[in-house]
Amino acid sequence: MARVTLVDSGTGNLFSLQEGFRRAGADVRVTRDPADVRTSACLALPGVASFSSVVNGLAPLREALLRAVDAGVPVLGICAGMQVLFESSEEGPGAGLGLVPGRVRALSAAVVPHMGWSPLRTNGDPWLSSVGQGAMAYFAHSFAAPPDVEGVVATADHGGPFAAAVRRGLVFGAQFHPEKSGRVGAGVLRGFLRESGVVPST
Amino acid sequence: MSPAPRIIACLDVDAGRVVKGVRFRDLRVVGEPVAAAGAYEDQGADEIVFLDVSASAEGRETLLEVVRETASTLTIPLTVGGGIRTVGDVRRLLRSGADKAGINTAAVARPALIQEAAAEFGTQCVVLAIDAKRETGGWRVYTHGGRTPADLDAVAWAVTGQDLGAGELLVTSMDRDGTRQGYELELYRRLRAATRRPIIASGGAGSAEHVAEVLRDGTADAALVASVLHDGDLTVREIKAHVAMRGVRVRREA
Repeated sequence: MARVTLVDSGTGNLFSLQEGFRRAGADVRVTRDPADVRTSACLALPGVASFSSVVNGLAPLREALLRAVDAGVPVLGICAGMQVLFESSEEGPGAGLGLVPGRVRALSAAVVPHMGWSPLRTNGDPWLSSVGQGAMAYFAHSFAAPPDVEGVVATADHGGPFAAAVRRGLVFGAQFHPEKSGRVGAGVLRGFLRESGVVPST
Repeated sequence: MSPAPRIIACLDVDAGRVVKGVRFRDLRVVGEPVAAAGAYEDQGADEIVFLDVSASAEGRETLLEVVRETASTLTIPLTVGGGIRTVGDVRRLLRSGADKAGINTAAVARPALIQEAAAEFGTQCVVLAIDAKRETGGWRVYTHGGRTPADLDAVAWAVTGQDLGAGELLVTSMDRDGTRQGYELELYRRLRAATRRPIIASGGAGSAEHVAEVLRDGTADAALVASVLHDGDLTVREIKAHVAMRGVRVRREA
């Protein structure tokens, strides 16, 4: 069975993502051990809290993560876990992983956080092939990458458009929570496993 | 564009059972939380809220098991409130599979708890729950399940909570709770004007039209529904169909 390694940066609800991947047909382990990161078939970076707290939480694993991605291990960053794929954030200090060029910015909507279900506008990337145009996903965030960063495969809008999902090769990021987005989100997790080549397409 | 206004199914949980009262009193058992949460998800609920009304420590331990069991199948967000005193309590809930923690009495007693929880888990994890009762000139905050009046105006307290780091405001009208007379619209209009956090309206839903009223024109970002669902008078699907007919853009799963 395909194994997903869930990288624990220290806080929040890992349980739901773990269950989400299980339902998508993967075996899941949760780790804070660099050795586990290096030997993974596939990685997921969940993230709640802030950019800086995820960057700090990942610090002991940073080298292992970057080496694994270099070696072609697929990685999916979720919410703040997507934000740390970029170089930096307006939210706070610390260097992101720099796997996607760009800087994360504050949302400028009248009501923040962006909390709830918003429609996705996808660009046809096979990762999101199960997501219908305008299908809604669940968001809970106050910062996001601009809609024109390299590798954007879906955008959403809250006080202006932002990057809802990015993909550069085997580096994937979702600003929304696929594990909390009903059937739409389940399709996003299955798509990640399929595009990563760890679960054969059916 | 704002997110789709949410319909949230709320379950008051006492020692592992779903209960519901009227104006915070006369609690009666109406179901089993794991099954009820799953049923409301299937009906199209956008989120589930568990409010722990257990009086005992044993009841609270039961809640963590209920959260865990619920979260293992739920694919929509789960907020859990009631009895949260410390950052450690929040951590245990999140580790059990809750996405957000609703803090009420403990935040009034020690507002720094909001700050600490937001710093540790992010502002989007911290829901400030406020029980508000109308009196001349405004709404007074009550704590301890509506038993104890606090020296706080509900709208002013919401602003303080926002500034301390609460990511969402779940405001229950004690006068409307369980009465099915409709939401206290004026309260939510005041809150909307005074704050820039998502507002969850709670207390008074008796019909789908009541839900449409509070979600129309962006008065509230989400509507909490309990009694009408538990009694089987309406399903979330029926509420959403009506609310959509009234011109509110709601999430409908394809």
